[in-house]
Amino acid sequence: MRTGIAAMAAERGLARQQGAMAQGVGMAAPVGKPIPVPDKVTQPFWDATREGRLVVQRCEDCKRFQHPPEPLCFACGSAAVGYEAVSGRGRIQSYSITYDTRDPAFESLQPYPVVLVSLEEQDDLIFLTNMPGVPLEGVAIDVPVMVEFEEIAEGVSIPQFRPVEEERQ
Amino acid sequence: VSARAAVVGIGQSPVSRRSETPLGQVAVGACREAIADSGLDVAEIDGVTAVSSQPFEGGGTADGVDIITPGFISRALGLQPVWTEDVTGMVGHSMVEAVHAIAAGTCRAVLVYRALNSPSGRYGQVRRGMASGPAQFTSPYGVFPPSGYAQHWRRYMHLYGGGREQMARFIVQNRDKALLSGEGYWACFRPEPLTVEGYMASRWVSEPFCVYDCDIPVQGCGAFVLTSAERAASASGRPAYVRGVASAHAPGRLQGRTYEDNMEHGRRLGQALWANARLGPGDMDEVEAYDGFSFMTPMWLEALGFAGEGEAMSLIADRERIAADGELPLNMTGGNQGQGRLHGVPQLMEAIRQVTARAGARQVPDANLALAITGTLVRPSALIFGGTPD
Repeated sequence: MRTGIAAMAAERGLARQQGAMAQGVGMAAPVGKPIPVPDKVTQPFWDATREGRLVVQRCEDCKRFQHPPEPLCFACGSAAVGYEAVSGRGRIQSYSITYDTRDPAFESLQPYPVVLVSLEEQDDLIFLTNMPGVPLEGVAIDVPVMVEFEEIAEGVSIPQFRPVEEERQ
Repeated sequence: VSARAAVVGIGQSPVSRRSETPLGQVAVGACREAIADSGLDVAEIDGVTAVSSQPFEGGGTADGVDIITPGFISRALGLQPVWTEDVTGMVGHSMVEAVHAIAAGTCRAVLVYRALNSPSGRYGQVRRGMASGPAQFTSPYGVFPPSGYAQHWRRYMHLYGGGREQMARFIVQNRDKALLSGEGYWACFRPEPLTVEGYMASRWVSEPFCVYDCDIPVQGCGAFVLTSAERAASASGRPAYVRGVASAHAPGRLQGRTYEDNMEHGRRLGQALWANARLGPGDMDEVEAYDGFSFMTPMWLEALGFAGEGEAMSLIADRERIAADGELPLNMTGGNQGQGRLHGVPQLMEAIRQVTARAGARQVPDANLALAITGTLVRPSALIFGGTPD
């Protein structure tokens, strides 16, 4: 196994090659999954995911959750919106399976699912996930899932989900 | 309520997949045809509106080549407009704006057009790299346009059934209607019928969508001339009066929208449309329900009251029920699936032709009221056309 600078150079060489193929030009930056660019509203969300925590915007007045984050509460209009940790548990609301991606960063992952997850805190709290590493047979409506985090670049993590056993009461 | 505005001229360019002809030439041709058809003098056109943006990422911005703005068209035709507007959405949205401008007295005759580009290379291929704005929550998951409505169909199947065997029959008769029209991509370039087996065996794009659930990208342009209902009555051609309009962006979150979210907004648009027109679904003689992705059509039929909850798939799978002499003549030129990715042009064009008895072999007998829905269930618009002003 190569380590250190040699490995990094080899990796970048490969990535550059893939990028060049995708772009049809001689030199191009490495291809990776798109990196979220936080803004003044979403910064706390991405700060938390980097630490492996799932937080969701919640209105301090009407207590409704909302995602993606917004500058104010869309349920009651309050500006008093903060972030609160959630369970990360939910169920698959629906899904599709992509065979014809337009972003070269996803070509090697095809076919990949694009899954809507409804969090248990609130039905209309919807997160997306590709359920990485999960066989397609395991993706079905109503399957219970739990959040996990995928590091897509150094210091950048996005929420993903994996199936979990039904909790027994 | 009497109509305030009417379509008095239509023009439609040929479509192509790959073309060396600059989009600007294609668009000007369609606009000239619409103006000639209207019988108005070019100098009378004092309003121009369109949607110039293109439905794919990574396209260029050269005006006249990649996009066609109202400014380009005005210069190319030598117009001196007092009102221009480049709007978002689809061609139906700009036509609703034209109706508003005429009703408000802002201008007297409006040219509405939609020019679609089909770029070279793989359509919409894009190395996104970064994800800002709303894309923060979608691009890192490899989300592209087919995903959303594919998820909606998957949800619908879970709730009601209505699978690919039914959709196959809809798409097959859709192709037949497109071939009968003699226009559009399939009639002009691949004039062969589609079979149920051919649909079922085709490649996946975004399962449950196969390639025949997605409209094929084309270059082409449709154009329309509108004027006041009063002026239309004295024009040379037979006017299609605008009897009702609705156009509204869905409130609420725009990422991670569910089937239920989009149906709720579709129903809201329907309520607005029927209230505006003081008409109902039972009054429509012909319906053009947008189908950029195939499953949008059954969603629209249920949202606007043409089919009960969970019943639209069996309706569209029945060739006789949606034929010219059926209970709901539907998408009579095969919609976008039959004509190509023209973003609302086929729907408006056919509804107008139907109520002005210009639909040839596809003519619905005695069609007086036709509905054209152009747009997704997030950003929809709809217009009702009548052969009479009230």
